[in-house]
Amino acid sequence: MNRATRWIFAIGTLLVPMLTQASPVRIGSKVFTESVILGELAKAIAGQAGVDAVHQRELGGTSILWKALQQGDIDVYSEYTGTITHELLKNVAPDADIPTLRERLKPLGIGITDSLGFNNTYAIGMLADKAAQLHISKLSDLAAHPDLRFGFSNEFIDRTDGWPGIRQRYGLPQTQVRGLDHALAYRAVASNAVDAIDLYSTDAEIPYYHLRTLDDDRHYFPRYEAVYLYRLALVKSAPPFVTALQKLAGRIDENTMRQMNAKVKLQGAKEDVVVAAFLGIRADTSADVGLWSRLLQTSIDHIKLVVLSLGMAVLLAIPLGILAARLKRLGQLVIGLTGILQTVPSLAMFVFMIPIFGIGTWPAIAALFLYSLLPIVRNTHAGLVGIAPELRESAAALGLPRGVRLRRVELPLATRSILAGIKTAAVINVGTATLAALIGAGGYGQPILTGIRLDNINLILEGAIPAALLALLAQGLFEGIERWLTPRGLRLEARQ
Amino acid sequence: MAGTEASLRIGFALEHASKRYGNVQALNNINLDFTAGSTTALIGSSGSGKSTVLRLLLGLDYPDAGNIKVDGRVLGPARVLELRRRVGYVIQEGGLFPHLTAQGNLALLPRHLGWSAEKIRQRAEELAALTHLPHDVLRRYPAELSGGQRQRVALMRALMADPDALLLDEPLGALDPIVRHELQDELKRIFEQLGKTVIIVTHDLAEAAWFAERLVLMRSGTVVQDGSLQDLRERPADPFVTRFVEAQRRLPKVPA
Repeated sequence: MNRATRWIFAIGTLLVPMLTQASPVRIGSKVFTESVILGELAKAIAGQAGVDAVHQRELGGTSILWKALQQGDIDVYSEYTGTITHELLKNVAPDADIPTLRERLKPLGIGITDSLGFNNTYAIGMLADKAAQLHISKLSDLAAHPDLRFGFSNEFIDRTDGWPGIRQRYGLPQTQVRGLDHALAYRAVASNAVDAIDLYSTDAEIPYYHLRTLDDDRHYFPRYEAVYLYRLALVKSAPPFVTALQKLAGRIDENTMRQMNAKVKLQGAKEDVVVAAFLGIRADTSADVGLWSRLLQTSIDHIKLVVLSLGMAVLLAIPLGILAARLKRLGQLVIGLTGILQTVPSLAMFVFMIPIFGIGTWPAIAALFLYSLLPIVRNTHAGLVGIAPELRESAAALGLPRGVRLRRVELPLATRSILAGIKTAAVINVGTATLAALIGAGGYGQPILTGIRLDNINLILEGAIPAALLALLAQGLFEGIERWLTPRGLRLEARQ
Repeated sequence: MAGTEASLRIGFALEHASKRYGNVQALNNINLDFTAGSTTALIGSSGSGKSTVLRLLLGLDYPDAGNIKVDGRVLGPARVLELRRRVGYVIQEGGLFPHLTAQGNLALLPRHLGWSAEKIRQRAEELAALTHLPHDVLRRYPAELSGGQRQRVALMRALMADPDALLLDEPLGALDPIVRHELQDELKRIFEQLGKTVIIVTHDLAEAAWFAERLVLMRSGTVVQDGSLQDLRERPADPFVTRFVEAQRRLPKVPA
């Protein structure tokens, strides 16, 4: 217990400087290409304005970016007016204009630029051939085809301004609605796995896959003007950057954006190169690194997440398991609580950690730590409770005090079960840590996210293969430790 | 002589002791006295409460009603560790810790008591000689020992700190007849040699009579009769005593 408190204290003192150090402007982006390009754009103009900036790419969805911006974990990210009115602010008209939004955001300490010049609204798209065949050209035509299968991004299914609203407005009868990652949706519709998908009007794939966007004839979708949201504190700390950001207003039209998206997604150009071409400057390629140094960096990030979270979990979970075995009532409570933690979906768990730890490594470690508790607590408890009563009684009858019995008899007898719990936790941990990239913690999830976004199998494998290898390595490592730590007498018993 | 030796021994008593486990009345208002230096056998069928008596005497459990007295003082949690170190306890199958070698099992308590490695080794050798255990057996793990060796090691473990009393719960119950017979001889010799207070639990009347003059026959948590084998045979306190005595199987007569 004592050692654990010291650990928590040590980690706390490490944490504070990490949260407070804030010199460069931090730009965030969501996990889709346009957002990443606009993030790179903000970074490039910061460079032109002589302001230091870092870009934390692919930080998951709207709620993560919005929370991070409000908490000051990031300073800027690109957003769309429709999302602001529907998702981020309460009690605001869905068609509120930008000056109104500016007034409403000001009390939150957040500023908004004017429209960058394009409206990236939601649309529903189908293969052009199929749409022609079924005589569908507008959303109201869909009502006559109840058998159509829809594949919508998870965000679109859940948002009030997404599927639920459109279904109501157009009285749509379809029941076959599946959640799909947006980057995979185009392939799904192209291969006829679904009939219609949601898309953004600036998506590069619309012409590439020969899709028809259906006309929003009842004007359901609000305007999604692209803007930057930034912390008003920047006006004081980095005024040239804010001025440059505001000057971007009106400079990107829908076609320009679609072309930039296409260059990245379909031609494999890098975001910073595309942005440099747009600004008419040379891309700074000094930061480009080869496969092996990228791999080294993601490995370091990933292993750091796993080792720290697992280490802390072991320090807390074994004493908790011992306590649970000692005190029956408390034991049930502890195991119940850690069980509940386990049922929280991983992405939700990462998001829950943001208000406490911000974004980046520490919330990811906290979430992984919570996930690692249950297997270790449960196995420690099971290992101790499963000791034959006559052995426990023999130890007591010798006249050994409780602590000595625990250390010399009970824990050694439970070693195998405890180690099995740690092994399970480690393997789960390695896998779950790939999601940590969504909150800016890096690791093997980063190339996976980018790979899915860009439909680049090589990049996906660059994260997936090392993650699988690391899981196997963890498994092998703990099996070795188990063999090494299990007393020989117990192994003999197993053989008989 | 009696004065100095008695102080090294230990006497136990149960006074109106009752103990219930769930719906089972394991002991029902029982009175028993075990004077220092005496040897007593507790007999009875399984479930009669004889093992519970030992558990209460060691403070592994406490009576629901009545008292346990050790050397005339009521046993409470505060004295329990000290008491257990003065009492050796051996159970059926030995209760050896599988993760430790025989030597490790023997050393567990002495090491906690701060004995030197040399002293522990010497004592183990002494006891190996006493129990006729080959010396190299001490390096083995319990899983590598025969049943008889395991019981010998368990007895040695109980004797390591030179306790004042030995409580044995069916110590020979799991052994084959030849080893059992051999160990009966040895145990009896050891009891006589050491002169400690001994309480042995068994369901075998012949074994009980072999070890002890005084037999206590129990049934459903009460004492049915407390006396010698002769008392049980000739002056049974209850028809159950006769049934128990006669239930011991003799060898069938071989036709001439």
